[in-house]
Amino acid sequence: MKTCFFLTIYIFLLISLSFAEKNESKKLFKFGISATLEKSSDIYTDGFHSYTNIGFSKILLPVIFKSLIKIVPEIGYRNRDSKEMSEYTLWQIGIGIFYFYQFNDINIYSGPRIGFEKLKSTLFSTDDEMLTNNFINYGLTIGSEYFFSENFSIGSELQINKYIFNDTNSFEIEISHLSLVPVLYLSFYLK
Amino acid sequence: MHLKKMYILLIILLLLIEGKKMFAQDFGIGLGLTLEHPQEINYERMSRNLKIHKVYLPITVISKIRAIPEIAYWNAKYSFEDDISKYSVLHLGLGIYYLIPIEKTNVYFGPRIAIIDIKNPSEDRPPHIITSKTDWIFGATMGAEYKILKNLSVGFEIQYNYYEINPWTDFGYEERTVQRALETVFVIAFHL
Repeated sequence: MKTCFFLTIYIFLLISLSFAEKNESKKLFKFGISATLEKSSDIYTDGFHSYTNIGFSKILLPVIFKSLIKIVPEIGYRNRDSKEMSEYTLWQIGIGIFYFYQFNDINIYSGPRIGFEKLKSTLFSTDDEMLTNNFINYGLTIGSEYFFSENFSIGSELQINKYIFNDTNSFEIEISHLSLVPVLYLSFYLK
Repeated sequence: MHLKKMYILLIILLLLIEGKKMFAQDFGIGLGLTLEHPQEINYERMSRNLKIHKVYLPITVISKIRAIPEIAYWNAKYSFEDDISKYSVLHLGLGIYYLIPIEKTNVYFGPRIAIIDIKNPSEDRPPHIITSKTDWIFGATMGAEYKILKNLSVGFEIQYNYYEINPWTDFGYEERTVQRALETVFVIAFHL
């Protein structure tokens, strides 16, 4: 029911925005780099114990094509090595492909996004066994970005994400949940 | 003690007000506050996420070189029945950056170093024994800031940080942890 509600709002926004007047830009490509600030993620930090909440920074590399399509690859990395206890390495990659509406200094965009997280963890007390856990999250994003100038912007987005965690090891744990994730970001674009 | 703190504050204020007159034409000084993800700090013989906001003091030494000293302080007291434990965390850091101005935007990059001093005085132990530890951060930073007003900027930093998390001094824990992470920081700064 909740999903239907958000989907209805999303489709309504897509339809109403498609009738809006667009501001055409002559630039073919625009490349940038962004830093995000978002709600902490629920992540299995050691693969053996509990589902833990950690703050996780992501770096976005937005590419705007003809002021029409915005492609946003994202990357995150964290490694923690407690020399005689445990080690974990967490990689996150993702990509969003958004349809883009430009109104003067503001743009509004929307589209699908998919993310993949790989966690490798070793607990040295259990015969140095290394476990690999994979997380997949996908969903819809609606966002808006305000350009202070041609090369600096502030933006925010709301993501409706479905998270699927599959333990491929012996624990046979399967977790999935749906959540709304607000994200704030600042970007620098090359002119 | 209060007088000492007041004196340090007075010096900082005087530097902020008089800095431009005292140094070269390019010299600039500011005061910033960071917004960032909780920092994972090993302070209770285990890892905890601490929400620390740092104060930045950006100093443009010459037109293309900026030094950013940073400071943060956090203090907590936990009590469980008769057991009381106190923690204090002091973070001091310095980044030296090469600055590229592009109209109203400044892009900067360079190395950064920080020290995190964590103390755990306990009422169960003799007063001269204060359990403490010192962690280090070595990093590389790329940042960009935009001057929304003449004296006010918003910006962000992308940092690759290497944490050296050391064991406590008197508990015999030999566990040393190394952490590497890509991290992001938002900065709001006032510039004179």
